[in-house]
Amino acid sequence: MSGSAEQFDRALSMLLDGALESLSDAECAALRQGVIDEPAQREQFVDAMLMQAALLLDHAPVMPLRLVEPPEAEAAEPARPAQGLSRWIGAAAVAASVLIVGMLWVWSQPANDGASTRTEPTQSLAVLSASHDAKFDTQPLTPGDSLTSQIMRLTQGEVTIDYFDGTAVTLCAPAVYEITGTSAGRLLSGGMIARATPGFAVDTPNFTVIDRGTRFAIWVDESTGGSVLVLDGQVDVQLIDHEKTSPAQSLTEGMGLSVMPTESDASADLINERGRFTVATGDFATLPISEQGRTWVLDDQRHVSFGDVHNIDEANSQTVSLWFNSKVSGRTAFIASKGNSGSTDNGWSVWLDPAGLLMVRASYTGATSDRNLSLSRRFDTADENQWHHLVMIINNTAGTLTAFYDGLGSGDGQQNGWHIGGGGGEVNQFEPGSDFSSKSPILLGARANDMGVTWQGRVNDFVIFNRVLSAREATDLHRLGPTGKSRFIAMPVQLSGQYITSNGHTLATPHDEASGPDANMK
Amino acid sequence: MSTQDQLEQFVADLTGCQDSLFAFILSQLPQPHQARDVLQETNLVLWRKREEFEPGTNFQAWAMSIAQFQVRAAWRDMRRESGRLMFDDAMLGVISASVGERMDSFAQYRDALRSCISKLSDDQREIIRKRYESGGSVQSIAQTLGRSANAVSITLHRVRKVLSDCVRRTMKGPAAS
Repeated sequence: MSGSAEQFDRALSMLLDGALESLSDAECAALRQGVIDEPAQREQFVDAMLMQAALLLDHAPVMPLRLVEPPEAEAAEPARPAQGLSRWIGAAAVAASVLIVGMLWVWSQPANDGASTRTEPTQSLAVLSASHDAKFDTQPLTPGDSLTSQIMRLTQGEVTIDYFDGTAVTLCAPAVYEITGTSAGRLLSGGMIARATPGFAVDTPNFTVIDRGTRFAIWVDESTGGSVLVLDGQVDVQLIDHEKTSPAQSLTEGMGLSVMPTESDASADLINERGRFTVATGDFATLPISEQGRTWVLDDQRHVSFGDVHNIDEANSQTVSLWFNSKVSGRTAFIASKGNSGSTDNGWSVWLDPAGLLMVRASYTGATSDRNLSLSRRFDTADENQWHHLVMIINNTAGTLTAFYDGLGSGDGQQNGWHIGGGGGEVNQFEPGSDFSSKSPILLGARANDMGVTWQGRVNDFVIFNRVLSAREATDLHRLGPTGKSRFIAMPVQLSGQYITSNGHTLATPHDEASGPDANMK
Repeated sequence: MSTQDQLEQFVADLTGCQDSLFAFILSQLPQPHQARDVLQETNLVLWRKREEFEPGTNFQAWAMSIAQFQVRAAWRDMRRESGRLMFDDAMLGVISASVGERMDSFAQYRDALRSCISKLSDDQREIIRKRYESGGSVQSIAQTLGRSANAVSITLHRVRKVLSDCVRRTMKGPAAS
């Protein structure tokens, strides 16, 4: 089989396995070329896709338009022509037209101007379209399930809800979310990202977000208030207060708003039934969100250990994200790692090398191969003493190592200033399903095998996701800025770190680490 | 035909071609949730344009031509978001033409596939069920089965190959005998 034919087969298999976004540019090109130029490969592709469709239809017949009749009160109103049609169709086409009735009813609704459109509890309003390691504390829900006006308590993972108005809401556990209407929801706690159609509204305990055609994220904590960040477009935020005098605030791309409890009555901006809150509005980079985005202060004597947790074994992929501010460059210094003290040691590492490079390296044990992976890019004195964002993605399904520096992705390994190799690494692709496990702890600021080649600087919002983040999510992490905003993109794994010395002794929080999420970000 | 009859026929045609439309869209937009989104958008466009459809002509072909526009728009959106070119218009054109030719026999294809699935071993049927019934990712299936994602992927590849060969034999059956 030729190389391009192998790439075509590999790309087609990945596509059928749901790993479309993991296809490399070369695999996409092989797929395009095969379909366009090679009749046999075209037939293979069409056969495969028809089988995929048939299997999906037979195993999960979840056409999202499978709706029920509109509420009686709505259907009885004589004024709107579309409702007359829907009533007629409902009577004429019986079961087959149930689909159309729902479609027309949704279509005929007036644009939501911010008020949540309450519906009958049995009306199907959305479909659960995707699920990643999701668990609910009530009834189990799986992709394809039709959703009515209901409360969902997501205890683990992520799910995506597709409303029939075109809005997609992704919930990150732990979250409590209620579908309240055809174009409305209520986030009681946790995080969500919405790609919304204009008019979509989300209520939270302290504010209501009314979309104007955009992508936005909301995080609500029952005890500490909530925040909204606008990723694209525009939203209006209406604070919920006793006096109902707060004007709606319009936020555009790059802006956010936080509502947090306050102890000072005098400075309170908002008083509602839950108490007194301050309201802060700013851009992504400056808006304080929570204590989660802790800043770790590291030097020759002070490192951080998270223990031997979250290994990447044969069945796992992983994304590591951190903000770092380095006092040094041009010498070997380990910023973050799990094992991988040398290029042949299993695990992953992010470090600086003497040639003025930033290295992202990993090593694994595969069934038939065992090569060293690395990507590198310039990092010298001009980059010191500034905050930079790094994302490392080990995709164990596609067999790729990718990285992002300040939102610029390595792509096939040679893009945006990235290069393949360096630090003993040779390649950026590996055998899918490989084992990167290491017995070493996740460390910040030192190399695992000798606690040497220490690094001086600060790390903020160090998070790990147990899945492959998309390029868009990786760049959004950079756009959002630090201080705990990563959870607006996806839910990270639990990490519990503590300061240690080079001898492994536990250290108390250092005196120069001020409290607060962004106290050390200046 | 009265206006009411035409609407009844339109509803019947639209509901009757949902599965074929989904297959047509999925072949060009392989992520199921995106394909479902585009199917929904296509249905709305078809309804809004219902008066442009000429009764007596091929409804499915008309619906697929509109779906084609929606698919291309979806890819343009994705390209704008990701900056990556995965399926271009030339590729989509070739796929839509090839799939379009197969749509008339799609129902027969599904019957053959169901027959072939019934001939699989229990393990093979189970892994297909896990992948397609619950929307399980290869990784989650691997975790459930205690196997590597790569091993699951290879198994799925083999089962699809078995089914593909079986369907081909089944659909050629009467002529061959």
